[in-house]
Amino acid sequence: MNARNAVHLALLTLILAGLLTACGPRPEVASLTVEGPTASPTPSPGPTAPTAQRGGSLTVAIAADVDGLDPHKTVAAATFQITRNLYDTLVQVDPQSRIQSDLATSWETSADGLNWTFHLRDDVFFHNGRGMTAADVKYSFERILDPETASPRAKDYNIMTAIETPDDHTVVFTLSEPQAAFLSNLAYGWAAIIPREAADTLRDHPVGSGPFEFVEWVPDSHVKLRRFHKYFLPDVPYLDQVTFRVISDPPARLISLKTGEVDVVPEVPAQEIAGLQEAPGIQVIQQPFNGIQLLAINNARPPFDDLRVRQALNYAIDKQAVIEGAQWGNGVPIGGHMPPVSDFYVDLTDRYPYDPEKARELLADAGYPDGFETTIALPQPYDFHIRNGEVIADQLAKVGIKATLETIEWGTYLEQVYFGRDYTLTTLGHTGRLDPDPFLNRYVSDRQEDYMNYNNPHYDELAKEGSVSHDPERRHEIYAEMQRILADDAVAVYLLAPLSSVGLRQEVQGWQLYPIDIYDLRTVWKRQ
Amino acid sequence: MNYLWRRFPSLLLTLFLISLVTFVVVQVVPGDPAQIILGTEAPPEALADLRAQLGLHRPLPLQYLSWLTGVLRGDLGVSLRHGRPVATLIAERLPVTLSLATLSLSLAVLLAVPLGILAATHQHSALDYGVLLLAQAGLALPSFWIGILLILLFALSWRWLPSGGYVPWGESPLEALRSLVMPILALGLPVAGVLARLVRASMLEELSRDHIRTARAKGLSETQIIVRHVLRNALIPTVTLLGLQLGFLLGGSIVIEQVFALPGVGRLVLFAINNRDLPLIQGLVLFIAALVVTINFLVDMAYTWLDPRISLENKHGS
Repeated sequence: MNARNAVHLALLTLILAGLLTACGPRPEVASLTVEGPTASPTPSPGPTAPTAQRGGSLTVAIAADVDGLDPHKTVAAATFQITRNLYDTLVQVDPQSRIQSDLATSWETSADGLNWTFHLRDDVFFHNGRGMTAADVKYSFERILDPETASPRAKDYNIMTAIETPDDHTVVFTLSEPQAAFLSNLAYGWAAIIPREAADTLRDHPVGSGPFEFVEWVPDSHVKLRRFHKYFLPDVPYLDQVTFRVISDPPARLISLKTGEVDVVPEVPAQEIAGLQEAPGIQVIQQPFNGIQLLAINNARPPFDDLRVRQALNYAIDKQAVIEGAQWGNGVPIGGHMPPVSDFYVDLTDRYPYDPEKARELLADAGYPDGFETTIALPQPYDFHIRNGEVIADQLAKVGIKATLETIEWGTYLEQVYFGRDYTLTTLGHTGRLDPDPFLNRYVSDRQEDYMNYNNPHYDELAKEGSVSHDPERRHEIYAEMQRILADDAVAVYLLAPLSSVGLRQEVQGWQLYPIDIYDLRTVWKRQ
Repeated sequence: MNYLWRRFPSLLLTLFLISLVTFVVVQVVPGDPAQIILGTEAPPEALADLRAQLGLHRPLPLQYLSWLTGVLRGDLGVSLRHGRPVATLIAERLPVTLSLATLSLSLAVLLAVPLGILAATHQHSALDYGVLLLAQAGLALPSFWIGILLILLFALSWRWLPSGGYVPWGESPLEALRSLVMPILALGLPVAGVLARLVRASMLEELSRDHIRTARAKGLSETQIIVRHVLRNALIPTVTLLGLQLGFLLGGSIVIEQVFALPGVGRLVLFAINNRDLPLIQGLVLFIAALVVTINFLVDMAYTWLDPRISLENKHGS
């Protein structure tokens, strides 16, 4: 345990050091994350951390096949988990959610926030051997914005009105209005920089400038990559070869880790963590996940259009019991629509302490002294949401609310519940964006994402201001207030932030967890 | 040949109706491929563009007609999720599923026929009861459960076989076989159970027939009787069952391919349905239907070989 404490201390020191440097003059040249284990906040840094060894091959079990390897033409998480290793972006996010340099070494923005100038590295090569220039950056964003490409993420970038390249290593973006999330929007996998000459065949033959180059993709079987020798950072990556193997059956994934057929299982189900920690030759690393799980309430549907009923629901649910009963203790309770890992998180966990007596009073006050009957829609095949719903139904029964559980297949769920808003209560999760705006703007009344039918003009105004403000302090105030408003109005029951759990063979070192859904293998190496 | 020509129009009609029913069912079932692609975290503003790009904005009859005309030209269309021709996707995965199905079926036949014969010829003996017990067990245990047990034993405890995945035959026949051993057992054993019971029962029925008593009276040896008189007749219901079991095997392969991470047609079916990938669903259903229809046809042909008294010409006429 002492060793673990030492590691925690070292990690904390590094995070603090990182925060301090982040406050200093920006931007920094080269990123902290990829300089190798001496300078990087790998999961086990410290004086005795072993030096990384070069070579070897790694096999990672993935739950779903990629949806092609063209980063501009998909929203599939399964694709972006892998493409981080094939493509680079102008900036990247580190494990502590800070924006770091990637292809751009530095950047500056005009006073009005409308012009962004990026200075690019001059030592970047694509896998086809050609050097990357500003023209490739310009082309990549033009391709994303081209209606012909039909990029599902085009809307994130349509505030770009002009992209200029004053020289080969400078790009200037002109925006139609300031966008607070602009910089972090450039760090997602779908903002990858690609070479024009390979654009038409990226889906099956990806060409990027990333640390690994493409070897083969056998659909429904595996994706194989090998080390790219002209990657712009020296020393990384360490591995010679990486194979992502599709194993969709969860027990089969874990068995293949135990037999050593795969080295890493990136998403271990909560119920399997304890067993895996005991298994010989296997380590489990855990970190709070950049996402939340909630019980969504249809605020427009009686009796939940009554604030007292929604508050009663909040008092009636014991979040710690949900975490224990449905997630085997793997999660932390939350009180608002932001995960604790976010810089913008406000702790509201004491807003509605577990108090069934208070819940019954509120229900009686609202005219339901004997409770009522309702239904909770549960999305199949997401067993963790289904289990949350089961535990919640049990707790609601104690205050007189009889909840019928209705399990609905995902495709049907999306049409009826999420897009169709035809539900009363449902368990769901929201994940993985870097800026608070995409997390919190789903409650803006005219947005299609407002599936909880929340309607509050004051909230809408705050969201608008937050999305364009580039005063960090003001933004913190705005998003804190928005989180408080949601909690006060008891728009949903904010349950928990899950933990990301990765199962690895003992010999695998340097695996890092990121606030966005990527498997970055630059820092990973194998003890031989 | 005449028989074939007479059956052909009804076969085509069957396939047409199957495709129409599939299309209607997929439309009636809720779920929109564009919504599934975008999920809950993508900007919903992209929904309309995506629907247009996928061709989902066109009127339904038009969508069906354009698919049908494509099929008549030999083009099964393009998968919404994979963005590649449906025929190519099926062709890529076919070797896995065909290997799995034919080898499982072969295993079932090789196990069940001798055991069934032995049990029938030694009725009420310990051997007979042993076979019945095994067959009953095979019948009662679901494939996926056998699969998981096999993985625990052969992959996790003994480390003899890979726990999943597939190696193409062309790459390494030995590794291909190793990757298929457990799936074949998991899928083939339940079929063997059904088959062994049937072989035994139909053998017993044949053995009690008058002409067998005559044959015995003529002084034919027991082996001659079994091989020449009993087995052939007893195999007719067996062949019928084999044809029917192929449907079971295709259904079972959906589950087994999932358990053993095999990139086969079964996994593709599941993927297509979960994603409401209509062209892929249509193509797969049509393909599988055509396969089953062909098998049934071959089964009919096999009857004439097994029992010359059965004439397909007459059968059809009656």
